[in-house]
Amino acid sequence: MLFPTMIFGIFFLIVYAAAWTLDRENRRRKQFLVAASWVFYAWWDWRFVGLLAVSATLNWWIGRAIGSLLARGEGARRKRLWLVALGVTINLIILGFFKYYGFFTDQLQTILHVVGWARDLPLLQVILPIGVSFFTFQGISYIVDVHRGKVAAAPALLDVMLLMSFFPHLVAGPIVRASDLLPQFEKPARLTREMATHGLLLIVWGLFKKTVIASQLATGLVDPVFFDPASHTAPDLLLAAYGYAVQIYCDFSAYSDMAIGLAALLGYQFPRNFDQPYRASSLQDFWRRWHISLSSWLRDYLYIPLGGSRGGVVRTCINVMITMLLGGLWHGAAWTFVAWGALHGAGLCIERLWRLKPGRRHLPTWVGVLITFHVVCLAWILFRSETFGGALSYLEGFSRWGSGPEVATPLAVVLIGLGLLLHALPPRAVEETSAWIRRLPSPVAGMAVGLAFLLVEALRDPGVAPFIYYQF
Amino acid sequence: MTEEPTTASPFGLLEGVEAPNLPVNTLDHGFEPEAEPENDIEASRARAWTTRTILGATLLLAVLNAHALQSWATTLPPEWGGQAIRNLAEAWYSATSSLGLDRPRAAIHAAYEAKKTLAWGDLAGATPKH
Repeated sequence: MLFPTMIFGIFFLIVYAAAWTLDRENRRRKQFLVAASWVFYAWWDWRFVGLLAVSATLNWWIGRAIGSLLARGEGARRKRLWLVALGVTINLIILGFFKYYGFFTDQLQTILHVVGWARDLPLLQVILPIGVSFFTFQGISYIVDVHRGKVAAAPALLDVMLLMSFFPHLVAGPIVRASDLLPQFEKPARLTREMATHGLLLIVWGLFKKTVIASQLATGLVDPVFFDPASHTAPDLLLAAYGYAVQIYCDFSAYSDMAIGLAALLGYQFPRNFDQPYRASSLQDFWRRWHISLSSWLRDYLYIPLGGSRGGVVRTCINVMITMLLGGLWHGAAWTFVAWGALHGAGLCIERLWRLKPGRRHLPTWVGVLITFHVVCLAWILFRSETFGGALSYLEGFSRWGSGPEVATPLAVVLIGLGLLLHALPPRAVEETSAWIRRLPSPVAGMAVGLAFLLVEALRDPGVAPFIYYQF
Repeated sequence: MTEEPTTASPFGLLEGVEAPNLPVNTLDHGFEPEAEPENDIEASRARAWTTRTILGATLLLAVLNAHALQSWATTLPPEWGGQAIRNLAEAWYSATSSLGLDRPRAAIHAAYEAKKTLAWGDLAGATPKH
């Protein structure tokens, strides 16, 4: 069930009405939301609802055990650490089996072949459960946060079940921390006009970015050019690279916007996941603005436990590289994703070394933005290409400047420009607009929101492609 | 031990803070934390306002965008009442379009589709290439 579809619209209207009918019975409301989230998930494949439920149950049980040891004081620290290790391992096994089984058996087979031990390893066609990367990371963060004392272990399984299953963030994030969401589940949900208008605007805004900009750039420019880069001119390749940068931003940030908006209409607040990433004047800045819930997750649960920047420059760079390589692998079981992570990691290390250089010149911000954007675009070529050969073929094509664009239409260029211009809007434009709409009488506000939806409906193509981050 | 200031973490939202003590709740929620409704009456007013707004938007779309409902209904399997929904959606679309209520969406859609087929060579005359 994709957000920008009629069936989801009907589903959400039913959930909204029922959830607020149960407003005074928080426990029953949460039970209903878990059931609704399972229906949402089962729409894709009902068999994996069990996986979701088992995963949540295990995380709740381990969290509760850690919580009770925490109450005993430092004496039980060793046992707690064992439980944390158990919880993290279980989550990683779930992620590893479903997402990386095929990848790792392929690599092992290749290695065995090279050393002359060719073996037929058991082949399994493992279906990737949608959203597995997100809910396993959420499970890990819950267990670690309970251990660190940042969040109390949830006494009721229901809360952890809802934390991990809640349909707005279930399949493509944002990775909402337990410390952000569990306290909200404990008390009855409350809706304010500000939350409502902000939520509605984010949903329309997300719908526009996904169905008008991202989908049309994908079908009209990016997909055909990336499918066969060798047969395209340099201008098409350049525009498709920019196009993909805009597409992936408009696609993924649209999902996050809609998730935040849907949750807000049900009375819950999710953290912001994007903050105009192509305004970044360095890669460090980019990672503060792009997929914030993942970058802060990697920082808190991987980079800092590795030692962060506490061991000198070399150690810091090693930690950055490990973090970014694994961050790349998280996106998909392919070496191109690892290389994408490596490129970002190397860039972050270079930036760090540059900052340590005595007497370095400060670049003007606009130069930093331009360089960062192009480094990010270069990395997106690796990210989007299915093989290294494809990426190399794409880069080689930049020498073919003989003719103008053949695939990229004027409209595609306008859409790219529009996607980039979104970054020139005031950073809190949606919030400011929603503050204005909340003062309107409800019939006028309803008409304004309805007309905005209608405009998007008129501009969009029929049908909708799945969000890019569904595959992760 | 503490993190180095400013450039310590390449992913830093909250630089210079040890992870175990990170104040996660300071993460940006996208809008200023608003005071919760002071009482149930205020909360139910806000909820009623939201419900009326959603209802208004839904009705407006049902009237001016019946085309979407009809397109969706054609994709339904005939079982489970699919045929009945299809007939209803078809009848609703016919009724709204006979009143010309589908024209605003159709006009914007047609104008946008024309822009889609525009090629670089057409830009001087601004006429679409067929």
